[in-house]
Amino acid sequence: MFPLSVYATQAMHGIVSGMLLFLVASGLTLVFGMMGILNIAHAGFYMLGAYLAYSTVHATGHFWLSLLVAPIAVGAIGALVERFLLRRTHAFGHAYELLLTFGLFFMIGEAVRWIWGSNPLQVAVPAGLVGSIPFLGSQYPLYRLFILCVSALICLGMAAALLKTRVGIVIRSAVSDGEMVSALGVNTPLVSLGVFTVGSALAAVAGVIAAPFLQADPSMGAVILTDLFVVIVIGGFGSLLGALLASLMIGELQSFGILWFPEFALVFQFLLMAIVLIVRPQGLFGEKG
Amino acid sequence: MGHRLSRRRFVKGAAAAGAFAAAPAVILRPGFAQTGPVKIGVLEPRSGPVKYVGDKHVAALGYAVEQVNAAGGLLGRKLEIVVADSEMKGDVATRRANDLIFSEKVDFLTGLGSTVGKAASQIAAQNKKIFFTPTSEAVELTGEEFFDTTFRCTVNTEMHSALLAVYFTKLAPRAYEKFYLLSEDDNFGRSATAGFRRKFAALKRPGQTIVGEEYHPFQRLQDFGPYITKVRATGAEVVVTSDWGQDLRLLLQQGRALGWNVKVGSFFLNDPSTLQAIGADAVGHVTASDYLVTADTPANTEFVKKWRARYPNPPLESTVPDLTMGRYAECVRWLANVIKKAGSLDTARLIKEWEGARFDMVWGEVEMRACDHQMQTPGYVAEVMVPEKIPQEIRYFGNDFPYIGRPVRISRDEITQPARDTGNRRCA
Amino acid sequence: MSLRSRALAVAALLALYALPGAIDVVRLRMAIEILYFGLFAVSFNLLFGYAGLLSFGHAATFGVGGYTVGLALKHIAGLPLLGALGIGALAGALGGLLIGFFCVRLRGTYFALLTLAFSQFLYAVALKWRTVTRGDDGLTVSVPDISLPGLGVLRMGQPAHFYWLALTVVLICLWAAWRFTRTPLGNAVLLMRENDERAAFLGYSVMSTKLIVFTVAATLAAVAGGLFASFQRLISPTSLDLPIGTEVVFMAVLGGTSSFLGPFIGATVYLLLQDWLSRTTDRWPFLLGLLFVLIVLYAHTGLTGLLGRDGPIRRLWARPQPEETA
Repeated sequence: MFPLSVYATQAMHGIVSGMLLFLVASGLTLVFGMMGILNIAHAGFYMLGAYLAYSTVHATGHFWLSLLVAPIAVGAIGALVERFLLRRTHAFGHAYELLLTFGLFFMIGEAVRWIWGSNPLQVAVPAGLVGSIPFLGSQYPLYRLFILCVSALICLGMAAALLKTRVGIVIRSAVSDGEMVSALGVNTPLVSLGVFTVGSALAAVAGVIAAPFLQADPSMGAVILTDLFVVIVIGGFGSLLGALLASLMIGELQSFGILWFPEFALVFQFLLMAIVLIVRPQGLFGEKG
Repeated sequence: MGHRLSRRRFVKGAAAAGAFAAAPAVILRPGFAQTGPVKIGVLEPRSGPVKYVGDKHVAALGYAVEQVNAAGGLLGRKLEIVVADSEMKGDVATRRANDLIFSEKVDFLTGLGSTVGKAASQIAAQNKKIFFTPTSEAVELTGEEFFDTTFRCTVNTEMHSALLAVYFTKLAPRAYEKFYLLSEDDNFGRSATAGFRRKFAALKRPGQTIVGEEYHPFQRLQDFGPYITKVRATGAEVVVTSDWGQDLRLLLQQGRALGWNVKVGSFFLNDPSTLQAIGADAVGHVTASDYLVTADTPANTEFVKKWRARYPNPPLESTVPDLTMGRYAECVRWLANVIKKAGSLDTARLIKEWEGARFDMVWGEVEMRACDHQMQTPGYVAEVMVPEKIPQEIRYFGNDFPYIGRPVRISRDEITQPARDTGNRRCA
Repeated sequence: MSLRSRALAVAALLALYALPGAIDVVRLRMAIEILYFGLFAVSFNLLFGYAGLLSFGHAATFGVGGYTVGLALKHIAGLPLLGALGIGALAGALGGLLIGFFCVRLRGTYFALLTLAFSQFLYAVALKWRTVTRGDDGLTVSVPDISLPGLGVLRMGQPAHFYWLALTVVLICLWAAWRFTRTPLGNAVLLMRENDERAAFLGYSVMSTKLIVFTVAATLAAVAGGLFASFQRLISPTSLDLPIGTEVVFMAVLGGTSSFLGPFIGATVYLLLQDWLSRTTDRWPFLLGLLFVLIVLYAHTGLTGLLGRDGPIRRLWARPQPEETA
């Protein structure tokens, strides 16, 4: 019905948004796999990253600096949250941990409105990445390609770290069997803290990268939260591979959904999430737990 | 969580109305109906993402109130506005509207938004007060869900989209053939699109067709890529959209980045903050409304001058009294005129006086149609231009960013919606 | 119940009904909101406090109840208000059964997410099914007066009359819910909260029990939603959306999930606090969020948990304990 270039372009859109989604979801997945907590505040960390990018650019004019500022700042916040807040509620049960992360998410959203205001804020595409390249008879924005490359690089980096390094192996073991790892002398609380910090920092990086693409907006956390839930559920709680595949799937679903059944795109996601939870709660790749 | 009951409200005297920051709460006056000021209760967003819109409207109302009071007030009494935060939500607006009527004893109600408008018009009707709206364009307010206490002093979605239909079938410099309709997926977007379709079908020239119709989630979607690609795939030359704010900005920016080559027909492209954000990507697109601040009438030129004298240091959006600000100010001026003519605040008398009344708004002569209380008005369509092409006397934003130039005028009759099509039982 | 308790209860009841004489219209309207949100919060707690199931989608049947009442009053000529509320409750029960059937199989985060998925799905339906629900503008609800034979007419437009209606309906619902928690099934739920497997071993059908609780909670939420729609005279998709779903969680946690009426107290405090805060500062949502986080961290048993047990109505405040057999 449409020429091939249209489908190819839609597929590109899907991959780009899918990879960005994975970038955000990866930290969330690690934390869930490691600690069994769905950290709703993660979406708030993502949003903070975007806003810190805005402020960094505003203050210094250097976009790339925010790739340093945001993850450090947000990682620090994440560390404090894990060490002092989450651990406290751990004793009260999973429900209260979840409630805490939700409360924090809400607070972050309101704090953002307080500090930066309610209007969306523009973050200019950094020089060098402005403009588009010819693509199948039309053009494709350089910045979107940049998002794709960076996300893929980070993804590969994570895979390498988890598979090859000692720290990575420890983390993976702790995810599958915390008690055993603890019995072997590994400082599990420290690993938890580390994973949470890194996860939060990753969310912030995703926020920084997303900011020139989507702009910094106080509702961006809530918007990505629903996508995150769907990814986590479909991909499987705790599985990075599952999160990757689910993110790409969601990205493509949104792209082609708009092409083929636009009326139902919004509804479809939740239906899909419900179906997976009902039929296979551990998701496509998760472990039964 | 936490999205109810924002009872941040303040009594606005005429003098205080000029402040753009949120004013501290002032001691409330007891509500005496017959003496003391005449009060208009106002339901606007005073918090949240569209607070800046509420700010604009409060400023416009303040301006109008000052003008009325400077000319002697209303029947010997001062005019005042009492503002309440609607949060743009129906249930909050209901609560606020009831407070305004019962605690503040307001004489009139007004406010922004369709859901808010429906809630407020109901409550006004229950309490036999007039609800007038210069912003809610939902057709049902003067159609199926009409109350005789409701008056609309702006276009409805049928009339608003008719402006674009008339422009593209009769007035555009080029004969565009393929039209794509892309709007937000809510009642406003759907009504506007349906309205455009109807008028387009009646007026289109041979060769003109609609090649696509699409709705995107309202202010949730941030990547317009797939929509833009779909638009390009159909070969559309014009995209008609009722989008505003964030959606409009993203659509235009991402569209340009993805290489679409379309002319956008919009309702809200003259918003300065949108144009500032979009910049060069906005040039060439058109926007339509009943009132555009660059309309070329002596009365309007005077109005803008007085506004700028009154507000020498406004936020960007309120530099000139565009669109809804102009409508708000003029609507209050008309209401004051109706009250003077009726010689009373009695609702039944005011209704009779306002029905069929004609008035000179700064943009042209309008008439309040008797059967459905829908203002019949001319309208304007303007193109966004680079500053250098805008005549100096209306280059309100200097050379900073593109803005609209002189608009083309479309007469009342061309956009009027026949009474029998309104769904209003009184107009059958 | 001792004579003293009975006398106190009657006095309290009289005071509640006499309230319209003591406070102004604005406060009375607030009291009405407290009534139906209180019921909503108590119904939520049947799931959370009693059954240990945290639902993020409890707004689902709240909204369903509201829309059902609105649509029933619109399309069924001559339907009395109580009839509409009844139909709304029925719709809530059906919705609860349907949604609960799938949800009770899960626990913890999975349960929370599935309830969320259902309520968001319903939100999307309410938003898109314009021909029926009027989309985002919402459905206006026209509420008929209630004629009481021999006593006159309850004019729903008058806050005092609506208050009496709401008070009566809510009291009946609360009483029914309270009785439910005292039944063997109600006790079984507490047992299951502690330990599913053990309860099953003892012969309880865990799934059916949870499903029944879910349905009861859903029905009560629907009644609350019906009252909401009748009072506001408007029902829109926001009644199904996340803010309301999370507000009810806040109310319950604030009041205390360990007691039956804790959530009702929570709703009262929350609504009054928010009203006052929003008058005082623009930053009220942030402060409420902060309060929520502080409560979860330092006072997770809520206000009633902090205040402990006392007096003749001790059993209403006390932490429900499972009664062990064998």
